[in-house]
Amino acid sequence: MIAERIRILIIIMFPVFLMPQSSYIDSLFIKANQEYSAQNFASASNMYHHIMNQGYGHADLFYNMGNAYYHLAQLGDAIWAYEKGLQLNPRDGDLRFNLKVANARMIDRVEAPDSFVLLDMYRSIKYGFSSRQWLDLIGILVLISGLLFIVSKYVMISFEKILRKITWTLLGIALVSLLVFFDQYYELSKREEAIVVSNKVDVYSAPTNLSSLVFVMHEGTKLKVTNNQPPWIEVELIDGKKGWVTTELIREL
Amino acid sequence: MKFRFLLSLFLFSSYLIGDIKVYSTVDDNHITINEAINFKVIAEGSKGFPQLDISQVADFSVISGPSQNSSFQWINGEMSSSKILSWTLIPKKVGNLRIPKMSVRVDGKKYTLSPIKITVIKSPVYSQKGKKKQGRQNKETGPPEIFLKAESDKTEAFQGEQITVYYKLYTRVKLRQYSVEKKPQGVGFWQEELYAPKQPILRDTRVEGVQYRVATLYKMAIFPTTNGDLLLDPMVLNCTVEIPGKSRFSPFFDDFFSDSFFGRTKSLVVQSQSLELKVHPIPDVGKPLNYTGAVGRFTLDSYVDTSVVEANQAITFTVELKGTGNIKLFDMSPPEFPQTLEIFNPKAFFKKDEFRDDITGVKRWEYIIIPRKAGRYFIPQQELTYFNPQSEEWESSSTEVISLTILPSKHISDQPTGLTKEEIALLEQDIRYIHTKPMRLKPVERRLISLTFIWANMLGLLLFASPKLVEAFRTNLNGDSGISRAKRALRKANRQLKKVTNHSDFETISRQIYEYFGNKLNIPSVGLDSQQVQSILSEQISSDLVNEIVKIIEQCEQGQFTPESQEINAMELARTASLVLSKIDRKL
Repeated sequence: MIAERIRILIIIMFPVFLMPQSSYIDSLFIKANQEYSAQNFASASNMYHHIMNQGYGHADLFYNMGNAYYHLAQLGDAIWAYEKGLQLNPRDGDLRFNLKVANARMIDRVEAPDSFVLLDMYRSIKYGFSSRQWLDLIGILVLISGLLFIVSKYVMISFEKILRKITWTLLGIALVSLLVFFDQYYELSKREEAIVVSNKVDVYSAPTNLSSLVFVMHEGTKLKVTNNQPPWIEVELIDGKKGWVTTELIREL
Repeated sequence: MKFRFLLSLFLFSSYLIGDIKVYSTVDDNHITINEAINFKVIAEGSKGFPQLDISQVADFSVISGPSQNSSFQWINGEMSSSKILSWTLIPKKVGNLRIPKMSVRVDGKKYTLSPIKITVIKSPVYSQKGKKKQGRQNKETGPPEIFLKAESDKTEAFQGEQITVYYKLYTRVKLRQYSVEKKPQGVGFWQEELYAPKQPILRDTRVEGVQYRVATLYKMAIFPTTNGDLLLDPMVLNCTVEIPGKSRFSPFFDDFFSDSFFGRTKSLVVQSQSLELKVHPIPDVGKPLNYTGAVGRFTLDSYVDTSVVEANQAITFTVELKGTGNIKLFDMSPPEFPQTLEIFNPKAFFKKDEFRDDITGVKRWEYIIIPRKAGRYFIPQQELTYFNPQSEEWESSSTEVISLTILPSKHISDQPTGLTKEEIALLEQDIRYIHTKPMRLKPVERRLISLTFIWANMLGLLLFASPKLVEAFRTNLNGDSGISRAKRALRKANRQLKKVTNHSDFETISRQIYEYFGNKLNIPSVGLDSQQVQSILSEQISSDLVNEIVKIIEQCEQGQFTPESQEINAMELARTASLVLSKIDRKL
């Protein structure tokens, strides 16, 4: 009974022990990279896809997948993979660069309406970290301030005042970060995004082919999913245009 | 052989000032309109060349000169030198002309040249109408040996219409060589030289009964660029002809020498007449708004090398203009290409049909088109409206609409329009290479809260709490300190009171009560009695509770001595005591 409890506790605390045998996956990843190097982009992308379907995820996996798609001229899928990778690691320079390169080759130019500068700054900070990264940051801030607290109390008593101030500042930052995290988490939980993967997509005013055509989108365009009525979904562009498309033409993020 | 050609006529006036003698001469003072004279200014014994302004000679135009010449002579052992300036002049009109009195500077001194009279007569043959019999005006001249005639295919034309002008040299003497001194020129024309053989072909012809040989030396097409009466200036030739030398040699040798290069030659300047042309403006009726000035007959055509390509592959689109007319003088505006096609500046070619007198040719514009997006595009038709001077009507020629089918590109490089600078820079770049560093892939973490978060927060909070925890731990170690005693007093008392199982164990109850107060109030418990308890408690809690506990203590004391007399047993009393103590503990 106690032994069982300890086991569960260990599993919760150190899930590394729970890891299934993943050397197969790792070798598959290496093999896929070799296929990519040999210009066999189709098989490389299939392998990356397989790894992803096994439930594995890493920014590099999506990065490599995106590159393979890019070389296969599947611009929409490439952008999808890069976006996916950036969800895991929003500050990866290579991912950002390749996404920019891919975006530059897109046919559609959807201009986001101008927004307030400070708001843009806040948004870029907010999405500069993933939700998990925000939480980890908060944890680390709390830990550092705890250590400083101890130091100020027992070790460097002569600097107590300054150290206390730093401690409280760090705790304050942690609190603000927590608020930012909640804001981001709330927004992300509400938000569903998708990328157009079909070369050309007709967007209808209602979930039927018989309705009028509102506009046409091309591969790589990022959309907000606002409503779902299988097999139709309602999408919104960042410039505010709305319409219905069928699901197989887009790929949800 | 006429004497005037042999004679060098010196009409001079000389001034002897020191050793310098300045005078002017002409080689002939009786000429026809198409002949030239040689005008010389000679300074004998001077160091430098004479200086004078030739533009004072109003009746003649200068064909060439001045040419400078120095000569030295020894006469009777004395050396004399002379400096000669010479000009070739042609008369501007018929009549008694003169070279006016002119002042000339030689070696810083002024001299005056006397005027020279020159008689210019009409040339009998080449005059435009040529009706007069030759030799009537001047018996001495007779029909000219050589003359140049300008002919045009028309004397009236529309603006922009081609007029072809021929310059024909008629000669009765042997022509050794000729050079063009002055090409015909005129204001208000665009001229284009037409093909003429390098070696003119001479044909026999008769002009008013006189045998001549004729050759077309020069041909040109002129296109009037303005309208009105236009004048084409004459062409001037410098010819070298043989002098038939019958008088010099015996008839026996005559043919031999006159035909050979032993024959004497002389140089002549031959001038054509000017041409007067009447140019009509192009009629305004029916003139299109975008008229670019085309006059002639043209056909416009356009084609592409291929009409079905992938995006980003080049198409060559050619516009071809064929025809006769002022093809070089107007341009075609490019067609209006669809926006999504990238058009490079056209290369223009012109190929002239050399052997036709009417300027005929093909003008070609080659456009390189690079479609950037897939789809179906149309290059609209182009139209050229031109004026046909023959029918005197407006005509037009247009191309067909060309349809292009652009297939989607197999490569990702569809270049959309409206790119920013940054995006254009990005288009030139390739994506960065994949990450190949071996790594341990982990299943996607679905949980939001990571271990880092849990551990870091736990540790951090623990650190904040640690001072308190350390203190509590210390208190626990030396457990008898007053505060902890006080905290645990009630619990200890209650625990002991529960152990009272004997009906007569009143002593334990009273001892526990005293110990409780001892622990709680941090006073020695030994030697306490009910009076002391009452006096201490009455300051802090209500008298009811004090009375209750005092009553219990008294009951205990009584019970110790007479256990049977008590109406309640020790167990019940212990329970009451613990209740009362709990109440008291809350107040203290």
